[in-house]
Amino acid sequence: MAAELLEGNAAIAEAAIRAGCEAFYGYPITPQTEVLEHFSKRMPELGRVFLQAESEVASINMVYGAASAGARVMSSSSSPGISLMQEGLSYIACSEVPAVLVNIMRGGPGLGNVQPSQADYFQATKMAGHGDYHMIVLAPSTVQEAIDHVVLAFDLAEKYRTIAMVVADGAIGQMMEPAELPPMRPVRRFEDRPEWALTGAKGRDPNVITSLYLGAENLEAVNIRLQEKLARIKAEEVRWKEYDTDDADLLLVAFGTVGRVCQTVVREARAKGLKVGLLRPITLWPYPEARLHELAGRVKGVFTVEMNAGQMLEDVRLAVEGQCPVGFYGRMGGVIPLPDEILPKLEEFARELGVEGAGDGAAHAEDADA
Amino acid sequence: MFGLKTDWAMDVSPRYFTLEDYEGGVARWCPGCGDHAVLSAVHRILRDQQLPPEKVVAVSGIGCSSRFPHYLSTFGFHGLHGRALPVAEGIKARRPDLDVWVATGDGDCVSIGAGHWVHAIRYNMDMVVMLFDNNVYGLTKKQTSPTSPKGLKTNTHPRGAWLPPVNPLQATLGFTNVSFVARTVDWNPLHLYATLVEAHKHKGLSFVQILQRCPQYTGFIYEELQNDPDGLLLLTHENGVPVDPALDRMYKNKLEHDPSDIHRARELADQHSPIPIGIFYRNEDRPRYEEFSTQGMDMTVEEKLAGLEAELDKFAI
Repeated sequence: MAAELLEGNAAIAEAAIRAGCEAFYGYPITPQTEVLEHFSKRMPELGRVFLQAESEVASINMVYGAASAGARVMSSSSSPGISLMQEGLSYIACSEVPAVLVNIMRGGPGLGNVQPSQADYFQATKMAGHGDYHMIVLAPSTVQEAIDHVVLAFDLAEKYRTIAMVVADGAIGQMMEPAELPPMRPVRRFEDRPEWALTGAKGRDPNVITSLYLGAENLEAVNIRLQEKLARIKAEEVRWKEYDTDDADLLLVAFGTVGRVCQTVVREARAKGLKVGLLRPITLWPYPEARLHELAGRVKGVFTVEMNAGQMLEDVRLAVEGQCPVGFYGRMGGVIPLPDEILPKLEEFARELGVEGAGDGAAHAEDADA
Repeated sequence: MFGLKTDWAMDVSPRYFTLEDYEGGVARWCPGCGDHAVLSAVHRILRDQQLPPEKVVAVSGIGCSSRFPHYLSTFGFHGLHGRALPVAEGIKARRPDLDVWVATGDGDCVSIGAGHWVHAIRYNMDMVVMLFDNNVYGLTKKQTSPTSPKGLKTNTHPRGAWLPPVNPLQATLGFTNVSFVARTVDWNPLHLYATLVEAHKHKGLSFVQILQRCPQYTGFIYEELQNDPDGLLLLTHENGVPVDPALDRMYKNKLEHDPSDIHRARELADQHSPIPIGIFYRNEDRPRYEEFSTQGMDMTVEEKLAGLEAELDKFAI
């Protein structure tokens, strides 16, 4: 299939449809609404379910119900809507039913605004809801990756009976760029639904899906099983991309939209003689901590760039484990940092560390005057 | 009126508020949006009743109409989607001295906030709740709302909404402890003003559905009603919306309806052709939660201690 010009949100919806998504439940919120609008057009013509729920709370519980019945389902929202879904996410995690969720992140906290942001990193990777669990979190930086990640999210969610979340931001959701959609997979036949699903108990014992386990030992046993699963995911599903890390003196770490911006920063820095590489995490959970640890042992410094106040920064520091200094630059409230502003910050960091090719900063002092 | 009091000068308010004292920023609604009409009606009511701006608070959720508090220079609260009512309840429960006006929409109140709506009616705190009902999600650009008419083509129902719409008045009249229910239209400033005045006068939660034009997405829905007053039925009664001679001339269809009759009110709420406007139900004998939640608020520490001592003394041997 050839690449075509696709809008991020519509591409996400179409990718899910082609991955065999049987039902979508959602609620309008900018900058994500086009996801549900695309589903609303396509699902009825395919004989599948599109339901505009009365709220995000309803949406996630509809996902919970349909997933319990063994259907491939998803919802999507943007930051404030994801906050409303957190209760449901915790229950889904404990009940171990597969579900896919897309967060087209916008500026927060609170109502914030509708500009692109990465301020939901903590929410996605650390505190999706109460209790001991993590979701698999995928962070695309292009429309093509958004498509690929949605398909992957369905497969991972089912493989591990867990929640897989794709965190894009308003920029990826709203922009159009050439991308290729996957081929159409058939919807899973009813008889092929997993044996744990609520498919009717004819000829077998009934399945009961619950997240209630009374008695400390009972719940501890469930938690041990969940933690074993998370450990398996950590061992097998870590994904990232590297750019020019082989001979790098400095390592940039950035994900999503700003990860893409940092690819330009790497090029521009190298043109100026500064050997910079980039590690771009694809899975935010599980985090590529082993690889980052390894690279941190080879470089003189690690510099993190985010569209938030420094959330992934904490995971970077944990992975670096003090092997080298860690710097940070971030913009908040929906501002996307540009290469022109990241590069001087990176050069300043390099000068402090005495990295070769960092210059003396004089050129930039002139730039600032101009 | 019958002879000057010696201290008559003392009755003159030291402050007089003009419309400017209530006007906030320039309203950023689309040209022709019905929200402008509701805003100017509320500005006028605040001015005409001379309500001190610092004693008025406008509360809203999320949606086009929820920009309302930004356009008043009173206190304002622009909050969470669907949560205007609980926020207003929080305010009123402890600040009964504030005049609370809630701006909510058919998405905010009837969809995501529906759970709160039931309980707000039951709490029956003294406030005016204006439901700006334009039958569509305007802010997110034309998605179906729970009050969208069947068949309305939107961006989430491109083949047309296929469920019958929620009737907000029918629902409200079914909730326990309902005390005031009215309907008006944004394109008749006289009726809109008079209805909101009555709603404000009422002690308890006044729920007013305002049929509101959205020229951008659903303008055609009310076009016919706007051009043909015969599509509306003016409810009249001495306890209803006072009928101005101009209103009297305009609406051929009139019906005398006693707003104390809840059964008749429910029947009228179910009627669509012509659509009744006016006060469906009012009853000031319903309990209001703030009467309970503000008990003892004015007492001093000494008075409270004295009360406690008196209670304890009852057990003295």
